[in-house]
Amino acid sequence: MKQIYIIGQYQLVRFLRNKLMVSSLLFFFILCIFSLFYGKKFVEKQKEVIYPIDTLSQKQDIEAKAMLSKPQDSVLTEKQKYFALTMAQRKGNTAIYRPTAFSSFSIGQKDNYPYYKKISFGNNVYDVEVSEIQNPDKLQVGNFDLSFMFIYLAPLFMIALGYNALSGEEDNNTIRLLKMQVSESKIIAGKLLFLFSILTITATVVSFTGFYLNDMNIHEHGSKLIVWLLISYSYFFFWIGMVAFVISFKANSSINALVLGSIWITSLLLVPSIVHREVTSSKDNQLVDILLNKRGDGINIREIPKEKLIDTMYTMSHPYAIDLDSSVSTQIIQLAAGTEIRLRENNSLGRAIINKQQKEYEKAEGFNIINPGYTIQNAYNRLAGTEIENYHDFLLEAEEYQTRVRYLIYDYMFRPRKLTLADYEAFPVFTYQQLQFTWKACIKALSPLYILSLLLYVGSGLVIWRQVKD
Amino acid sequence: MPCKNSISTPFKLKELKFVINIAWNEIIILWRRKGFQWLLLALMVFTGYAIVSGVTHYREVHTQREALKDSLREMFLHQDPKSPHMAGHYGHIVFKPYAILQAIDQGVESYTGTTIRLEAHRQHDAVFSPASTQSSLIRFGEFSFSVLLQVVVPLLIIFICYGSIVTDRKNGTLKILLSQGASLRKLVFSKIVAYHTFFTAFLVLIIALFYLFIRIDIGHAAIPMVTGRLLLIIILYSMYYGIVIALTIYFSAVANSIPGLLTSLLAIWFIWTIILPKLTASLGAVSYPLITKAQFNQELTSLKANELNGHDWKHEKTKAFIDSVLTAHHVDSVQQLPFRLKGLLMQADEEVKNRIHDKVFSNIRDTIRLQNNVSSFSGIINPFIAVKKLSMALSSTDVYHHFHFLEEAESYRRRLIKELNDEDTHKHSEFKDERGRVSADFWARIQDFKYRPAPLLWSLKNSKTEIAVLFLWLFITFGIIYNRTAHIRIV
Repeated sequence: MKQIYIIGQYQLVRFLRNKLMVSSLLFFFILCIFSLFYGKKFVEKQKEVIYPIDTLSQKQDIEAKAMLSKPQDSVLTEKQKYFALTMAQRKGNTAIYRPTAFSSFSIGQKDNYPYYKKISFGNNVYDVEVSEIQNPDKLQVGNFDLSFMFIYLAPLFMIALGYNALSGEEDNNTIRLLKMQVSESKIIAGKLLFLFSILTITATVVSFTGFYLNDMNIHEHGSKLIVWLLISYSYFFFWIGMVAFVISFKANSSINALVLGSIWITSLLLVPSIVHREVTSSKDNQLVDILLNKRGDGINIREIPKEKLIDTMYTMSHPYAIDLDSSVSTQIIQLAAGTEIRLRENNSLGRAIINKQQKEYEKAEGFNIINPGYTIQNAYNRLAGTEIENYHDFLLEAEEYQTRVRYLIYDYMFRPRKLTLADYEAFPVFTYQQLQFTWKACIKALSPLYILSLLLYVGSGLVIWRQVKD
Repeated sequence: MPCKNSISTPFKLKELKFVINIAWNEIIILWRRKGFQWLLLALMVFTGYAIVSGVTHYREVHTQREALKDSLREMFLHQDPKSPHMAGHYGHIVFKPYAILQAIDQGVESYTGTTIRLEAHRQHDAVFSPASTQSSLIRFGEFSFSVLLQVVVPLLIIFICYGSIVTDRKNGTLKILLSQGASLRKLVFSKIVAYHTFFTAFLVLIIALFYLFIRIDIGHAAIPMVTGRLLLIIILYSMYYGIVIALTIYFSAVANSIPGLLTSLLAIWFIWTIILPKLTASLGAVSYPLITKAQFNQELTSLKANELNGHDWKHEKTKAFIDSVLTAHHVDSVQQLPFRLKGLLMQADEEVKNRIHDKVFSNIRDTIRLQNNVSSFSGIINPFIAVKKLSMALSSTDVYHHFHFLEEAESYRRRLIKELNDEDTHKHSEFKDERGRVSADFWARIQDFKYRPAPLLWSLKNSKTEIAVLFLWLFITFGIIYNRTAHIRIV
């Protein structure tokens, strides 16, 4: 162990003397800082868009409370009923998929998904809409966030520093001298341990910088930062394993650089893009159905006989209890039944698309054993709440919220009464809780990468062992 | 030590023969290398996959969109009887055709909407961008020919060419070669010719394969649309490979250490291909921020508020318009007019809103153009960007082709709504029933939306900067090689 430590120290001295390598690390660090500012800017832009929505919502809330505080007539007019409905709907009427503190570290698909949705009594939560104006060129190129730096650039840095760990000594004719004192495996271990240390230290410093740059506090986000670092270290560990495996064959420096370069391009460009091509399919048919429903081509409620419509309300299962006794007006029941039929149709279409996307997502995960880049990107995004499963969760929560509010309004419609301030305040507000990505879930998500890393380390050990044996 | 034999002389026939001999030799040596054979095999496998998967994907999406287009047309033709005004609200839904050249370069197609609802009074966004329904896997890029041609092949060029001169120098064979009377410049050019010939031949072969595949699989109809573009794609990549090969060989002639050279070339490749495109696109977005959707809607609303409103007859501008119509027809009331005022008013309303929309929307396009100009001009330090943008333009998949589609769809919407408003204006019409509802015959008269793709010249006009940048790179690269090789040491 001491010998490995000495080799690491020797490697540090050599590294510090190499101006090109030091400036490369500095360049990497500066780009990481730029990526932090870029991510912060992205989150601020989304917050800028959300701010007026929140302000309007607060304003409407104050207005509603002020109106409800006024004395109301005891006789309930149609206008008052409408007013009550409107008031209730005004409460938290926009479902917002907010960026999390870690979204600036890993933007993921957050720029591609709509992040706010109007929720009203009868609108379609799954409606297809464009929430922001975007430059497609920019979307296609992708984001310059910290996850990009770690996933793409860090391995290249490792390759640049590690490809000649053994062959470099051979080129300099120092290998014999070294081998007189330590074994080859210890030379590799010492050098790569140094490489791993330098990258983990850089990543830790950069991550903490981002942590403070984004005003995160240790109590709220400390555990997430640990998970973030766990993902990063795991990835670096994998690449160190890859470098160790390739250099253990003791080819010359150029061959090592060529092979590692090819592995980099294969694992980060070719494999993910081929997996993507294999798992995704067009969803135009299902999406068009949503658009057709919006246009009015779906179920025509007016064509359903009145009695059948009323019957439907009695026979369909309801997620919340409703009291439909004879005192409830048939007109109101018809309105509720029409809304239910229409919304349930929309929701089932929306959920069908989500299911299809979910299947593709799971199918892609099945390839994670050969797709380390995506495995890590996916883990970063899940932590940051910017992956498709987070968006799906948001949509399902929005639907659930809408259903709850709708049934509260039904209750009010079926039993007409004055909407008091207390009633209004009892109406739920949409507050979306992001899916948790704990360290346990993280380890589970990264398990394909750990298996791959283990294979690489065992493989390189075996190669060296065979060479020693021969 | 500078080469003594490097005094510049124009190429004569003898010298040309020398170049051909060296180039031929280089190709033979290259062909015999086992590592190269493996790399070539891998490239051929990927190419085969790119062709088959690209065309299969095209067939799947194209068939689906065509079927949807037909069923939407059926719905349009057989819609319930309704007034022209209500028909305007019902509108139509159109689809962006899936271009065959997307199999070569997907461009921004995954990030743009593919479907537009066309309706009276408002311009809907194009929706259903494929990327918005997918996981972050899409951000690693989509596998297509362009990934191979833009990313993999240049890397292969580096792998193959980096040792071409530096190895000769290390082995001492460079001195022997040059002592036979050749200059280093001629040697460098000969090697460039050799590798360039090889990669261009490969390019021609795979594009020819693709051409053949679409001819067999998709049919002759697609051929006239793609031939010119495919030829230009060959020229484009051939130029790019020329630059990459020339620079790699030049650096190989200049370099001292083989591993150092290789890592430097890989670093350049990475900066060109991965870092700079993202960095410049990010800088463009930060330098010229786009307005938010809320700001866009607010601007539209505020501009519309002061203009004629077809649905609000009490609006001052609407009243003024009605008065002007009455005065022009010398009547006192709307009922006395020989036509229905509502249709005329709706068309006037439409034209006002179109003007406002054009104004606000053109500002957005200008901002996007400014953002993209940042990366276009970065082509001066990164030819990859110029190639990437030109490749998208030639494949009709860049952002400007998307705008072209939006414009075509919008002009169809305007024609459709005008026809409906004109019909609404008629008090009596052969297509209307007694309740003013239009019949099925009327819908049959209206032609379906048929997107006419932008012509090749139009595509090139939008890429003037990229074309200029690419020629500049060629000129500078070969200029440097021509002038500087005389000063390169031989041992």
